[in-house]
Amino acid sequence: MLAVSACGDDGGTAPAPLTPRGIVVLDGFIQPGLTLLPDSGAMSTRIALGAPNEFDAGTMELRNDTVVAASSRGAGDLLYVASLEDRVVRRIQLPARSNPARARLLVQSGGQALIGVPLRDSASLALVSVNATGQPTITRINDLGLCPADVFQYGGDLWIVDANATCSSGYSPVGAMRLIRIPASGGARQVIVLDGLRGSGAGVIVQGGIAYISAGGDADFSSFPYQLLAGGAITRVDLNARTVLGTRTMPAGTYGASAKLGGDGRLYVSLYEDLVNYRDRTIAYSLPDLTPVGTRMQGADWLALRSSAGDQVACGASVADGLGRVHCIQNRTGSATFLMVFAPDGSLVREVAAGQGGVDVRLR
Amino acid sequence: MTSQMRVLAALIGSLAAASVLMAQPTRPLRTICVIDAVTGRAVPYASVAWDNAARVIATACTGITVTSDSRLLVTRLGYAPWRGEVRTDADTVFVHLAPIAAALPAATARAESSREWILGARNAVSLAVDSARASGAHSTGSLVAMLPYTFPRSARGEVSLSLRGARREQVAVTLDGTPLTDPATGLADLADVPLVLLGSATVAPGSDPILNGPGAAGGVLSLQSGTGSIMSLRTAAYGDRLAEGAVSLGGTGGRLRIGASHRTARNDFAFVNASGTTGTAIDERRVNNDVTRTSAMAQWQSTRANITVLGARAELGLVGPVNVRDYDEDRSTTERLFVRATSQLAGTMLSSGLRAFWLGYRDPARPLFNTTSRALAADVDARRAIGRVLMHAGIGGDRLRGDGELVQDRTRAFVSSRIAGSGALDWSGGVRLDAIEGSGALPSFSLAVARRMRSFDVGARLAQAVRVPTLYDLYFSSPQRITVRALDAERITLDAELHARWRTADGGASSAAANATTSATANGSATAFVPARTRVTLEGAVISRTTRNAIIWFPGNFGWSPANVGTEHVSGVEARAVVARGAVEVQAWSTLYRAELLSGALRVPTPYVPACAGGAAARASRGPAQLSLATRWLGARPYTAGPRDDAFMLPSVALLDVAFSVRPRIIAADMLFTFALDNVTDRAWQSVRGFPSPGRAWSVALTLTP
Repeated sequence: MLAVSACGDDGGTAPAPLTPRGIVVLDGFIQPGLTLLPDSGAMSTRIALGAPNEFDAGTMELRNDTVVAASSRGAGDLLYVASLEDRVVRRIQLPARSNPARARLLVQSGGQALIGVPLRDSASLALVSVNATGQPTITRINDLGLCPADVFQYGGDLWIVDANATCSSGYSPVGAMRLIRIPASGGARQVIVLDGLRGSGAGVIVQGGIAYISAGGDADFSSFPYQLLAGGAITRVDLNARTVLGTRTMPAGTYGASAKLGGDGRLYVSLYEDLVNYRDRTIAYSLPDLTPVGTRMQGADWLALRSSAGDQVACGASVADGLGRVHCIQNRTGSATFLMVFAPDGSLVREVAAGQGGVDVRLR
Repeated sequence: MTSQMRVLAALIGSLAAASVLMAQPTRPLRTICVIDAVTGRAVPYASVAWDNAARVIATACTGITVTSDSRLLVTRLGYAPWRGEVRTDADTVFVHLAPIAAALPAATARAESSREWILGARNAVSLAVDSARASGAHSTGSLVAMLPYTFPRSARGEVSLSLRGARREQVAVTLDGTPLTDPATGLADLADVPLVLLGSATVAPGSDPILNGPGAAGGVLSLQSGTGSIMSLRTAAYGDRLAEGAVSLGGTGGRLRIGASHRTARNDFAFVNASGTTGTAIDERRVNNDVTRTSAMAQWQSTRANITVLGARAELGLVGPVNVRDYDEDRSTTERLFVRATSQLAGTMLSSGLRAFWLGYRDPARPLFNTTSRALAADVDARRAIGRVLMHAGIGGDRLRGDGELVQDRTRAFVSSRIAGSGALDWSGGVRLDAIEGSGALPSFSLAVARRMRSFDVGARLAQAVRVPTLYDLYFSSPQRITVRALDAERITLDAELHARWRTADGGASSAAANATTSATANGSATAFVPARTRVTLEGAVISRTTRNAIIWFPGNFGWSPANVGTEHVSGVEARAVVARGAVEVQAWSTLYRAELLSGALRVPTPYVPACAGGAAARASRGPAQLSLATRWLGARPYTAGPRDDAFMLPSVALLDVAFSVRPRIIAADMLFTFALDNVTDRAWQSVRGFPSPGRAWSVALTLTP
């Protein structure tokens, strides 16, 4: 339960490129790092991020050649910034026991880079900038609900998703999630209630003035059999009108909703088919209507991803390139990670070793 | 009767007695001393039968009248019976009993006039607690750290160890032959065993499936109970205070030994955080690293029964890794109970044991994460010698309960037989069949042979062994948590060892010289064996072990989970040299291991197993004073279950400990005063990544032995 809560949901504001320059796999455990792969071939290189007890991020954000990720309070409240070009990793200490949710690449008003990190246990947002000498500066925005889980910028404003859960004590949702707008002008904050979203982790993807906010759902893991209390869902919010357009619930019985924007303009959502076998599934949704698309399994919304032998393949994290090829990672025996690439019809076109302990994949 | 008649009668009687003595070469008195063949320690309460007579040796030695061809039968609870003739003219006969529970591949019981004992065809080494105390040992963990070939490590107050390139859960720890292992974790926390309970410790690397069953793949740490009364007080850096004592009461009928130990420590030592985010090293201090540990024990030992009861309670601050402040307030409480009773009925040794563990974890910031778990293991077994075959059978059960409906139960049974012989070759062999609920029938075997010569021994050993999943393994291996057999037992398909030992002709036993184990003397007390001439012992072993279906905890898609993963291979060399002359003794040891897991394309070196390691110890005595130096070197070692990567290695480290002790004799007690400096060179190091160990630390201890 901790791992899932800490991982949150994937998201991103930067769409994947049409033809990937390369693939980046985030190795989240055992030997935290980034495994870099080209679009073809079996070669890979690696960038170590840190010790396993100081890293537990389940997701990363990649923009250009910069990767950011954050560790929760159980792993030191740390922000990781990695340059893929220079192969340099910087660790930045965030406030102790603040419980970062994730890291987002933002932009300051002057155009300089800024990193936003929602701090779940202090109901605040850390805005981190690094000066020319490499010294970080952290400013905080407080009173952001109960458990800020994600942040993005739109229209010059800061938007924060509050999971509205007791993240500091048990990750139990206490109500519907909320979207908090902090105007750049300094005016009063605005709160939009996201009635269909429950959970302790959330992710946002912004496309065409619409925020697609995903939440993983809620479950009782205190006893077996685990009980699904609320399934995952994705809510669309018109950021200009500041109204909720609607909510797409994930298929009945599923748990989780980790979304990424594919290079083909579709939303790729990873989730568990159920709370018994935890079989990974991937659903592709068209935008903006969130209709399941792609070559799907009969009677189900998820994609029919097939191995070379024709067997169904379960992928932990997935995203498509501009050609509609689905890139996904799969952890096998010994947590050995493999990158698998599927043609739009679901047939396997590439399979290559991609490090160990993979939790997220992005396309450069 | 007149006085002349009395003189005549006395003369006739004397002549008659003299004629009898001349007819039968009876010596009026021999001293029989019973010695543990593994540890060299005196064994009290042995029974000696000869020529229709019998006697209990309440201490360790006794005088009996025997002829030169008298056949002796020496029996003792926990030891294989020894039968033999007294074929020596020496006044003192040492009978070396082989402990049934110890890891001896071949019979070593023998009557001889020398003080020599032999450890058998494996690279086993013993260390007496008394000797270790003089070298600065203050806990069972520090005792074990003084043994060669051991790799103890600790992060949050617990102490466990690796042997011969094995994972910690592949090492069995026994107390007087009974496992101390928590069935939930597969680990035995040495910190819960008070030093005052112990007389000695023996480390025996290598699989020992016959005597110790599933779980002894990498080796066995065999702890033996102590004897006698003792009291010890210790104060040390970082608020470390220890008081422990034991009183031994009794006579020929039996002996009751009761004792207790209490230790508190702040452990708030300073350390250098070189892995912070600023890029520069920062001086920090550990917090929430305190420990309060209390234990009590009682032992009853007689010819009819041995009973041991040990209870321990520890409250620990669960300090987190460096740079992680999430655990600054977390606490844990552990309670353990160990009961072992042994008796003998018509030639069959019956034993029963109970192990209970309770663990409470408290997170004041997030009470929802508080957890409590309870584990219980119960065993009953019987041993009986049928001719030359020692049969051993037993049944038992494990039980685990915890929050979150953590429920695991398991019953088990086993039968084993072992046979040993000696002659030109000492040999032993054994087979064992374990039947364990959820794992099925698991056969294993062991075969060892040794050739002993005047100054050279060589031996070989082969074994197959198993390790069944722990109850936590089973619980976490399946997300459903209802699958009974989610994991297969891991099987050591081959554990092989070739061992050789050379010593100077008058060298005596390596263990005596190397570790100052003690030899029993006629009055039953234990005295240090000081060699008169230069003695040299060289020993080494070449080892290889292959484990199929290794049970490894790898993170899965949903939290951590163990799985049967690939094949582990361990190969390597162990070597040790001992030089002793007069009151000076030096020993050095080294290990070279290649230990890795092969799983598909993954090649994962076993975490925390250094490719190279070693140690050296030197002791010099002058009168009652002794100076001890001990150094230990650990090569670079991986700390993750991932492929070899320099970014995930702990650096090599060399540590030096120094101890000065003096034994002034006061009235009726031996007093041992010890001043020790650990980590004299103040090296910053970590036995577990993220958990710094203390730098230079002092301690002062006073031990009284009536």
